[in-house]
Amino acid sequence: MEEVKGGSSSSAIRSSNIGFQLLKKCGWTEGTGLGVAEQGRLEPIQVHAKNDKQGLGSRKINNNNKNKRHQLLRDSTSKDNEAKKKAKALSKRAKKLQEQEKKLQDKEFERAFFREFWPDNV
Amino acid sequence: MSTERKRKVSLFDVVDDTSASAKLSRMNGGAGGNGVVSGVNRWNGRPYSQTYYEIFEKRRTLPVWQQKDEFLQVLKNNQTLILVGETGSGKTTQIPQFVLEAVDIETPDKRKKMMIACTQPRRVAAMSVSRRVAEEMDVTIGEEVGYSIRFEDCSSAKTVLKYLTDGMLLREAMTDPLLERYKVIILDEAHERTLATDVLFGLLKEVLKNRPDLKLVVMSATLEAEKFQAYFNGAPLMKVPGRLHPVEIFYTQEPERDYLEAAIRTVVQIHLCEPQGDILVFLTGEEEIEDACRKINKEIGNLGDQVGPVKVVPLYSTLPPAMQQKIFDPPPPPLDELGPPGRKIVVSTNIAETSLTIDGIVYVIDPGFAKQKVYNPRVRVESLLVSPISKASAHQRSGRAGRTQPGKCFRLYTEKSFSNDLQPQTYPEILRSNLANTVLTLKKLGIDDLVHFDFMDPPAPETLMRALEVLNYLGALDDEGNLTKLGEIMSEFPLDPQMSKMLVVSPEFNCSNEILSVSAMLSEARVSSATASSGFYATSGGMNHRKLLRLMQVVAVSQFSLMKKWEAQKAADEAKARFSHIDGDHLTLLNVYHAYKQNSEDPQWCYENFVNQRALKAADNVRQQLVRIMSRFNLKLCSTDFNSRDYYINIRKAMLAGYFMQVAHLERTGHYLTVKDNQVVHLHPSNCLDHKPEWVIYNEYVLTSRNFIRTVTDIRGEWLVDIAPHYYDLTNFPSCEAKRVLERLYKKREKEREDSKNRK
Repeated sequence: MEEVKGGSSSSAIRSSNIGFQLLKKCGWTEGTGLGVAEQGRLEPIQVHAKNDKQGLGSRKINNNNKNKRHQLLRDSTSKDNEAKKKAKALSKRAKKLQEQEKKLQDKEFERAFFREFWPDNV
Repeated sequence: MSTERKRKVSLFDVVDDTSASAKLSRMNGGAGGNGVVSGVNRWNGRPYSQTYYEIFEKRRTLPVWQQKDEFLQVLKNNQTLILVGETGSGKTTQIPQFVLEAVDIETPDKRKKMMIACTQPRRVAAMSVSRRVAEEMDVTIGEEVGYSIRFEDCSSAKTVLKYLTDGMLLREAMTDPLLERYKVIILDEAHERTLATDVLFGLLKEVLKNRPDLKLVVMSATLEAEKFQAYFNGAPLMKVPGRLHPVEIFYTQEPERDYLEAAIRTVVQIHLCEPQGDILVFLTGEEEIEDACRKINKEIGNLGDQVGPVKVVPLYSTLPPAMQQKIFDPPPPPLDELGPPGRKIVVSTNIAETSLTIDGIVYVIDPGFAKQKVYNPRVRVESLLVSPISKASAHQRSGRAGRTQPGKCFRLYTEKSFSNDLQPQTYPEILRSNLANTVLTLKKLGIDDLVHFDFMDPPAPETLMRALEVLNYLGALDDEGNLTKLGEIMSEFPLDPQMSKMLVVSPEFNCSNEILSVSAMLSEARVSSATASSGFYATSGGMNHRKLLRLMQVVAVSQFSLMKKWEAQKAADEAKARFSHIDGDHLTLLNVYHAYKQNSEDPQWCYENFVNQRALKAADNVRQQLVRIMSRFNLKLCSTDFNSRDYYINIRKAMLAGYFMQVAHLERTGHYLTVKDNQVVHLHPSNCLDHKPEWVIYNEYVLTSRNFIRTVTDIRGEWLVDIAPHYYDLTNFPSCEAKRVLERLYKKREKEREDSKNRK
């Protein structure tokens, strides 16, 4: 038996779940995010537990492998593949948006950083 | 008018709207300007004291004073404004006072005034800042200036400026949806994005539409200012310069194999090679910090007399306040007049990143990690995990080196790592938290469309699903998602929904007195390890493996200097054994509480028994507050006869009625599996059970190298079937050993029912 860490992936909540149904009753549509423009993130945040003292960047966690396993797990458990596909298409769009946002954030960070340390520059 | 002295009232009381002294209103406006001219304090009509003038001179040198007029102009012309400024600009203490001077807080009713609220993410900050501001305004704390935090309200009918935790403002909104007692609301430290602040954002946006006279000031550090601006419909943005000197940043050439070792090495190097100035090292948790302190002392001790003396000070949230104060001690003097200077080395969790400011720090060492709260709705576990910090955090950390003079920051990672491995911002707490309590609050606030609520960063749908699921199983929401009567009562308790449920149903089990004590002890145990409402910053020092009850730990640590560690631990273990209840930790907590009361709260007794008196006193206060809420809803206070066989059984059953979703089953393999989620867990070594029960309820799921469940109590399988059949519904249950056991239990119950029918 494998210990699943709280931060690692596991299968998504199924549509038979009462919480799933209650959220639908609140007006949620599968495959969309929350928020005024339904712009919210689709997947919960995944964090990998770190249990050693290895420094930052000293060992790249093999993300690709993890994702693959995750995918397999999901495929084997998912019943409604169609909804999944829809979600995928949407998440692609969301990814693009996220990337764009990330770029913007990075830029802003840089600007803020300089503003902060060299206030005279502003 | 009996409001002269400081008043401690229930946090749910609405501040009295009578009895504000009328004479104050006469003075109002007259003193204007800087408030110094008249020599008479506008707020209490007394002449200013000498200290007032002394402090005033210092206040005027704060950067924020240079923009006072500009700020007041922008405030006058706008309903919402965003003020950006780093720590040290004086915004937290000065802005609310500026607002107070400029805004008309009179109401048609001469006796009452409207208030200014300033929220803080942390309890400690709300308390200490309000004290400071009361001093600056030359008034008594709790009168014109007050604070309000969970379980403690230090404000009165006279209060015009109130510092409060963001969580408290949210609770106030539950009884006063339009926050009508406030004229201006200031959300401070908005960049920390605590759960409560994020919810307040969405809520206040709505309130502002309905209250044109209300104003909102959002105060934040630099980084997300533009995002705030966009969210608040382009509200004007004002910048206040901080007081920062340039900080030089150094990266490593190669990634470090062991960041702890690297951090210690860097400390030693700085001490050997760099000019005078104190060092701040960021590490992840209590154990690591204590370990590092020992090693630093040893390494520098090995260098002998040719290097200056050092004072190594740990800092984390579970450290008792007296020990925390040590970070403000001056560095040690040189050994002899011509010797190398001494240095103070503070080894801290990320509390030193934003919450606590230590002057004199010139060097910062940043390994790039912190303990963060994360919640995975898929396995329903909220835990503290060590993970890489964000660029924003790294930036904040480096800024700590430039408070007093130009400084240096040593990042124990490569520049490439900085740009590739760190995300730009720390995820806001709302994305990392269990939202059951938040959803209950939102429902109580009348927000029914949770899906389209104006979250700045909407959480993942699954997080909300879990919250709705939990509340539905607890009976707080019906199958349509509407708040039930039970849910309404539950929302009045400032506790987790599980605990609120346990309290509300405890009279049915004839043990509400005992459940009140257990709840108070549990919430105080948590409070003492995580000082604030906001998880991330305050709980960073939270995790702890000592084989002690947490209530006792603090004492053991502080006696550390008197006894050798193992001796202290042994003695504390013995003391703990005295209160142990073999059926569980919850019952042990109850025993401790009872013993404390039986010994008339004697400090000496506490000391001798390794019981943390401060924590117990706080728990007692919490209990009183909870009793008030109970009686407000006519929930009976009752106990089973102590000599009855059912005394502890009833308590355990009542606990199960709240915590039936936090149950683990002992498998034949000897492991525990959490019910439904089937996670392998282990009993935390701090448990006081003398056996491995087949079923346990647990209070907390702790993730370290192994998955632990902490604070556990033995319960019987039959009770699951009796008390929570809707959750233990086998048609909707993953197949596992527990399911087969439950099947047998259901059959047994059915047979019993039939037998009794036949007998009739």
